[in-house]
Amino acid sequence: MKNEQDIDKLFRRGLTDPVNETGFREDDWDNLEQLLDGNKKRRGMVYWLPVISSVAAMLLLLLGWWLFKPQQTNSGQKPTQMAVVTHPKQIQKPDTASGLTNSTAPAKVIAPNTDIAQTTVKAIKPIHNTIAINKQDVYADNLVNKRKVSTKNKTNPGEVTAPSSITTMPNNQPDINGTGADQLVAFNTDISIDASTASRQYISTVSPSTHEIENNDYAKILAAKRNKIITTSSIAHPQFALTVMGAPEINGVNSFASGKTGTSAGLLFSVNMHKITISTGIGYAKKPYNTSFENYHSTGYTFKTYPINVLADCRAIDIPLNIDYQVFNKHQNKISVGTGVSSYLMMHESYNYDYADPTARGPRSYTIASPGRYLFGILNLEATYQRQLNSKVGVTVQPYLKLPLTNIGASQVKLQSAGVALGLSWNINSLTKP
Amino acid sequence: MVEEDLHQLIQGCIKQDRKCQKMLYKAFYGFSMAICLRYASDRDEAAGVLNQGFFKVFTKIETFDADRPFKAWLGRIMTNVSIDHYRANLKMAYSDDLETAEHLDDGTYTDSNLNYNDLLTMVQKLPQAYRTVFNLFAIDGYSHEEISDMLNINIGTSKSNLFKARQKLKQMILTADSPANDKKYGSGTDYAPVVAINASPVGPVYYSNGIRE
Repeated sequence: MKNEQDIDKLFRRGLTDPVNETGFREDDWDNLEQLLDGNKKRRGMVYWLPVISSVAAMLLLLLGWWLFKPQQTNSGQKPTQMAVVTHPKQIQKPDTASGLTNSTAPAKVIAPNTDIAQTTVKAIKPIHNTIAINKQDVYADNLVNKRKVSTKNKTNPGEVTAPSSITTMPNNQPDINGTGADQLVAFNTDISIDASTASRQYISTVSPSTHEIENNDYAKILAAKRNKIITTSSIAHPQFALTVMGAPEINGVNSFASGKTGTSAGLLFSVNMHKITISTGIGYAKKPYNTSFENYHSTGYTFKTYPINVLADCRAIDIPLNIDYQVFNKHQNKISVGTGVSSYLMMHESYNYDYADPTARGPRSYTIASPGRYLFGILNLEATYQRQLNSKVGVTVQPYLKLPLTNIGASQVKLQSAGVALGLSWNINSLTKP
Repeated sequence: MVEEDLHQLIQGCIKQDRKCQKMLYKAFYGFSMAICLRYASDRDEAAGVLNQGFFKVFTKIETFDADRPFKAWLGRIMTNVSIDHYRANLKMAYSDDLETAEHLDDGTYTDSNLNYNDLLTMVQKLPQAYRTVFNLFAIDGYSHEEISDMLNINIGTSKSNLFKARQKLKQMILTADSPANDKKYGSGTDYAPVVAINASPVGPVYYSNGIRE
């Protein structure tokens, strides 16, 4: 025992009172200066990263919304092609020549009696608007209303006693259909040949005539087209894709105020059907975070001196299950928004404790022996921009946010992450050419 | 350093004045390095740890209580960062087999003439786990309970590491005092030949393990 004390005494006496202290080295100070300067830069980056990520995500969403909206508006403004109202119950399409070859013709009201034509314009306008706003087809009851309005505004009622009508007509041509002076004719500026749109047309003629047979043929053609499209859609196969993704991300507890940057990388497998994409895969994420000790739940250990901050280093396998909806698809560009859940399988968890008093006695760090699993503990929110380079390969930019549904880790913290993933996707079965 | 000058330097450091930081760094470089050196395995490693310590000093200097001695505060920070460094490099720490060194003859070590550099070299040659516990217990005066808290190890492990550290140091002292190795610790002078004789049974074994090289 004395021998041991002698050893201790020998080294304590010899090492605590060095005769010649180690000389100062300028290089050491330079290194410390770099450390001090580097800390400021890193803090700046950490501070701006979530802002940059958020702005990127918002821009992407706005871009998708903006590009998507005009499509909706345009389709809504296509006021339904035209319709001829003669009899509320009878709805037919005029002959192909008059209906489809005048796609550029402006809306017009034509009647043999020009006096009537002028007055009926007023009558039809509000009806036309109604159709455009409601984006509805011209149903029979609307047509009844039209007729009422038209009749009401006619200056020469005697000339419009016959059932009024709205019909498609060849551009700038008088009433060559010979259906009578009581026809009110309205043109649509854009008669789409899109079967899906055309199928909504409800067209009527004044009375059965020689056009009727042709009209029936046209209806058959339209019906055939529509069926063809439906058939084509129904036989579309799902598209499978593999995506390799990597992302810098920022992690924080409850907020990103004192977030720390981490990284994640993974492989995703996705199935795309129409506008819906379901994806899953496996990823590995390094998630360091810094949090106040208030958010930290001790794992059974009672601290004699409470730390102020806890710096955690977590490594987890991330298994996501997401569903995305495509909001924009033009040329080679696609934008989609999605959500889903992730499960974390913790591979490593260690905590370093930062005390307000740097001389405080207490554990400096702790490593969890058996990290846990947190199934479906994370909510994923993401926006994805994908540019297809060719039929097989595409690049992906995906801002994402991971929000906690449960407490994560042995410290039971609300760990959240945000980042922008960059990826390369590969279509396993290339169905469409960009 | 005069107390008043030190106070002014600290005030400058609180304002993040780089000149004051450098002056404080230079003034306490030797003192701090003496602590870091005995926890580290060489000068470069010690310099890295020392800078980590001063980084903490400069970022938390506002927490320093001016009524208490600055050197004690600084010394504890250096000890803490040394422990942090040990924890961070735990994977690199190796445990050494002491089977050949467990039955050393007792001897008198207090009258050894080994100087500061000799003793520092010996401590630095200890495996990191032993060195850390030995420093904390034998030199810095922490109890095994405190050490177990600080290093997150069992008290038994702390005691065991201390025992093994002492055994290794005994071996080194005996080897150093051996006439055959009188050149190893060149600055050591007139050591007692009696110790060298006692050391002869274990000296060659230890040397052949390559620890000295």
